Amino acid sequence: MAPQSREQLKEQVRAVLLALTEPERKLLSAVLKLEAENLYLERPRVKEDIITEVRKVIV
Amino acid sequence: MKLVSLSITNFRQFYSEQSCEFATGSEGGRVVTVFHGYNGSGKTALLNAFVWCLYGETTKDLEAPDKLENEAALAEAPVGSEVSVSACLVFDRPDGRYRIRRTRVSVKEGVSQIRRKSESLDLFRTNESGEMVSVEDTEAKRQKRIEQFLPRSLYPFFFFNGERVERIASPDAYDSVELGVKTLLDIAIYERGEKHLRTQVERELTASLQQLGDVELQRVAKELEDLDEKKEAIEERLANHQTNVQELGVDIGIIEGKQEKIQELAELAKERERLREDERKLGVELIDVQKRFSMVLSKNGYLAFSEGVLSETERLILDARRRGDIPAKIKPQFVNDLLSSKICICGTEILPGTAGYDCLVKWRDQTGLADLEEQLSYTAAAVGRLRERRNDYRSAVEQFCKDIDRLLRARQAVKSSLAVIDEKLGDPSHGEDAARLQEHLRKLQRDREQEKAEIIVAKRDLDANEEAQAAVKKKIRTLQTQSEKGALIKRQLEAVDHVADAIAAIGKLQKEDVRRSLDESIRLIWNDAAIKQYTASVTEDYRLLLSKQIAGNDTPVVGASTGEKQVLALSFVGSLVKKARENFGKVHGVQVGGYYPLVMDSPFGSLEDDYRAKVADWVPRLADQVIVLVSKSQWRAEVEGAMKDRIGKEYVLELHTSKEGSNRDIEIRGVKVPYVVSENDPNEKTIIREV
Repeated sequence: MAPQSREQLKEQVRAVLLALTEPERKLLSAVLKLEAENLYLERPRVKEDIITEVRKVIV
Repeated sequence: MKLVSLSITNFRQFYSEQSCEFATGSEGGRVVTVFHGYNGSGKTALLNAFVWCLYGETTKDLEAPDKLENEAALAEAPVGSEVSVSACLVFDRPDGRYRIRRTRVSVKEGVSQIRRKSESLDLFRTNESGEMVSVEDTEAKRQKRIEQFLPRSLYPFFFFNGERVERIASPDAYDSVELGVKTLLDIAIYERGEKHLRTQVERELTASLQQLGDVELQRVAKELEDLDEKKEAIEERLANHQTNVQELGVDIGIIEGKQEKIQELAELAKERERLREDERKLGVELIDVQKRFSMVLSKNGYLAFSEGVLSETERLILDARRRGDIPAKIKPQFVNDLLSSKICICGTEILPGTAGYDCLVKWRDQTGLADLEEQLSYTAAAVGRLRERRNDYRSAVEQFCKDIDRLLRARQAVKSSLAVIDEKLGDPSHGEDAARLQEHLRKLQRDREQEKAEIIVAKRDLDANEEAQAAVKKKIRTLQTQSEKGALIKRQLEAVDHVADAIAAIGKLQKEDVRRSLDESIRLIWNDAAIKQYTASVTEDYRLLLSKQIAGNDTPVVGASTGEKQVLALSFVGSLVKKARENFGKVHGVQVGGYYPLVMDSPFGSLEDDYRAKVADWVPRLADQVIVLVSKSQWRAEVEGAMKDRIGKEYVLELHTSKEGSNRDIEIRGVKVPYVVSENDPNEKTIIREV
């Protein structure tokens, strides 16, 4: 269901995050951080960085 | 990003070093800085000073973009000397104050000839302790850092010519608008995150799994790949045969139709149809009987082999009776009670060690036979029931066999009759055509039977292939789990999959939130500003849409005016920066949203008075910082009236010209200040003066 307010959006996002394990949440943050850092690039090369994060977090 | 100041040196009309500071809203929400400039005084050049400083390029509106050097500075410089152009922009970000300085050095080679020598970019940051430090060690990295603050592709949303801003609302700009929204409002982060996880990362991890050095795993994976290919081939083969059967059926129908039309054959053809219907019915009945027979066999089939067991059981029960083991003479509970109470039913004491007590113990040991009796009674009853069921089963089997035999015979009889009819249909006495038709029909029927057989074979092959696939998949799973490293990669792959799902879900929510928010904002602004009954909205692809009601339906407006499109575009840009500000903060540890300035050259140029006043009113309310570059004719009373309480800084771009009698003044806040100055200097120049 599409969020109708900022609060509802936060609740829905929280629900999605709660369905993840702690390492998965860490991985999600790391991936989004990497993507944010490279957002200005048209074709960012983030594969290796993400894989490094996967190997660091999921052990 | 909040712009603090700009210093430009010898940049286009601006001779020597000229500086200005911008209103930042720190004084009572005054976020507007106004530059008043006569035509040709350098309003567009000033806008380009921002763009050049940040990205080393200029907008399309700037004529002769290669000639940035000021004419007076060039004229003064001796041939062979260097002339430099520079722009220094200071701005604040959440992590400190930044200073960008871009400098271009050229060598004067003739009166009007220059050769570019170098261009440099410096970036400094003032940290929390007030110390200014250089950022990054190479120019490329500095440029990269600047573009992290504000991507190059997005500057047209923030530094623009108001007279052409309607381009944002045109179909040509759909892609850049979508990109702008997704980038500024961080939706692209989610889209890219999901894409990279699902494609590049999953592929890499899967490849690692296969390259674990596990030869067996690789071999089995290849085997599965081969089976997949084989499956596709069988399915194709099956489909071909099925098509052939259908097509042959059509051909057969055509020939049979022809036969029915030949008078001599009509009766025979009718008879054939009747016999075929009988054959079909018998077939259905036969299948039904066989199905029921199978069920009976699977449920009670064991009874056919039970005779030996049943007879042996009956013999054992009889032997037990003959031996006197059953019926039991005494109940075990009775003996136990006597031993426990130590008193006989006649009142005699039964104490341990006495002959009576020992006798009772002996009886107790024999009472186990009572259990045997119970079990044997139960078994004897069960044997009886099984015998009954066995008999029923035998009768049913006999009946089924009879029915099947009857049906088979009946079907065979129908088949024989059909063969006779077929013979008759092909009898040459009915004419050559009839014989040829029947011959053709037979061939088609044979072909169809062959195709049907191929379908059975293909289906069997498909089943076998599926079984093989299942076995190989099972083997792969086993092999993967056996390998510790493989198990780890498998966990990583699972996590990647979960995270990609979550990112996609969050991205979807964010995207809809952004769209809804922009849509609401633009609708409100448009409703407030517009004089027509149009509705402004933002589509799912972030396209700006003006629509009107025609016969109760929303219909896109065709031929909206430039002014209307400009208002729509400005409302969009304003809503965008407003939403970016609202989103500002950290989400999942990632900095999102932000503060953005709007630098607008001639934003009221083509607008009607009503629109000017509205735009002048809401733009400073939506944006965090507004820099407006206007001519006298654009700075009308309604604009000034709407903006005056929000103006924090005001400048005049004082144009100095060599033409006599060109002096002009401009009245700002009731005070006349020089606007155009005539002077005895052949080189035109502009000086930035704060009012």
